[in-house]
Amino acid sequence: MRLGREEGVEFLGFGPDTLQERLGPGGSTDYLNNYLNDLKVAAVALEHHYVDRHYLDEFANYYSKSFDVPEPHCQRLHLFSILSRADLETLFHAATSDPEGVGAHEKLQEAYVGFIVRRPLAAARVGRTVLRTYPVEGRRHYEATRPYRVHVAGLSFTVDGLAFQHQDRGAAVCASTALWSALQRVAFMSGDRTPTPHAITQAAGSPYPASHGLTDVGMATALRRLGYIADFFTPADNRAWFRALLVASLESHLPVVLLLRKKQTTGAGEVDVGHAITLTGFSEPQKIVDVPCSLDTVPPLRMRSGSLDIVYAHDDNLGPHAHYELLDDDKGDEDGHKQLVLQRGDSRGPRPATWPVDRWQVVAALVPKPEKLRLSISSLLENIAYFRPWLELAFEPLSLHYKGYFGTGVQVKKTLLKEHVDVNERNAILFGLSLPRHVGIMSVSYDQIHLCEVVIDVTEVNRNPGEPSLLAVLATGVPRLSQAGIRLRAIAGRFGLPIVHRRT
Amino acid sequence: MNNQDDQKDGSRGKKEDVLLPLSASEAPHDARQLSAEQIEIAIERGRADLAALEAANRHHSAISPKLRFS
Repeated sequence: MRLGREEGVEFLGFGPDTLQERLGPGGSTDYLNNYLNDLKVAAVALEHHYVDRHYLDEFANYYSKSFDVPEPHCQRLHLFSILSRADLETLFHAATSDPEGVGAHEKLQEAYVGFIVRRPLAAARVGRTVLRTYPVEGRRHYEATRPYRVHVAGLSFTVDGLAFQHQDRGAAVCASTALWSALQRVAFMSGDRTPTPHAITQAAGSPYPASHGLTDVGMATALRRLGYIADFFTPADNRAWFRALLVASLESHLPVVLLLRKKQTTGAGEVDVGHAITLTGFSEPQKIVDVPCSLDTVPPLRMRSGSLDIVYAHDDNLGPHAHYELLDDDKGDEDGHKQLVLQRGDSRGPRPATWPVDRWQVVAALVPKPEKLRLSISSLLENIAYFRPWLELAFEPLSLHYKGYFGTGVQVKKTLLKEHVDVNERNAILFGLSLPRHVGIMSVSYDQIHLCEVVIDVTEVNRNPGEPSLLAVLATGVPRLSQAGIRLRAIAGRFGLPIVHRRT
Repeated sequence: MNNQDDQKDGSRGKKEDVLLPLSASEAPHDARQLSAEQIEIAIERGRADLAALEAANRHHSAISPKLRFS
């Protein structure tokens, strides 16, 4: 103990008051309690003295210059499922007294749900928080997560999640906080250290104090100055296309910053207020729908993603991975477009009861990307129009549906290692084909059957109008000597593309 | 899912038959192979569709610069 400061790790049981005592009462605490109860959290290892880099940066640049200076350090709560307080303490002691033995450490890792940093800010106690997502069962997809490595009492744990925190209103508001969450994943993809909320606010270059918020251009400017690029798209008059772009982004493991607007009545009349949240996942859309392209002369694309209705979001007004819903409202907006509305809450009823379910108009999406991922998400999906005529020819008479997403060249080759494919064709790709770091993948299915993928280069925009840069055809659902396989091979041969078929 | 849909040539069979493996000897004969002209027509149609979409989408809808996200 230094200067009377409480230090060390304390083991606690997790009950209804555990968070309330440390984070204070309110809707966010109720939300976190509900979330952690669903994950069966039963015990906590509390680090009394924890230095959080992200808070420290806010402290150094903002709070240390205030009249009433808060503490520069935080506390951190490590959350464990199933285990009782006594079990947790016993396992920690067993794991630390026998570092070579893995039994106790493995049990702790299995039970580790994540952590919450408690900041010394009365109105925004929830600092960097990384929690395991709900089990991926049924339709749930949490694509925009990454692994975090955590150290407690000399033991290391990992948790897959995406960092969340409350806006503190002083050093960062929702715009910076939403970008900060998204960059947790994108910086990881790029091999960079995640920028702090303060660094993001500074990079936006706004002449106003942070509490004024950021415009969409300010947010994109911040990304550019931090070494990333941004995709930007609006629902405008094509809500199904917008939904498909959201899914394509998330399936590319790119979090989406969703920009929202609402009318608010004030003493001075009605004003527009803006809010930003970060999408981390979605519920698998159930219907395959015709998604209109931007031209009537090009037939709609059949995509499941066009019927997206449930998304999961980090909302700094509430909590991480919140269940939100997309709804169509045919009332026109200021530009005459039918509105896409985000309901912040579950139609089946709010959980917990204090969750204030409300509705916002979705005005745009901003998707931070690594700098070398240059093709836009919209262009990626438009490329499906290029492949469709010859894929329909190859698979005639099957009625096809499509999806598109970004992946990596490494991921393409690793996936091939797991697929039941022709070994010679596979080796020709593994050993004979160079792939860029970022690739686009056009996936083609019939009903529930996955047929094939076409891989393209996305490190640049199409050099020739209407001609994507093709790399390979992965017909992992198509036998080589089937009619579709023979036709597909003839088409791949026309382009000089390597092709791999399902092994029979 | 109806597995007994009519084929375009009028015969009845499963649509998924196009995915069934043929024996090595029958494959070249049984598969309805594509002509080079069919392939070129399909490729040109895809190229034209994509070029039209690219040309139509060179602008972005903007948000009111007055709207701040806070």
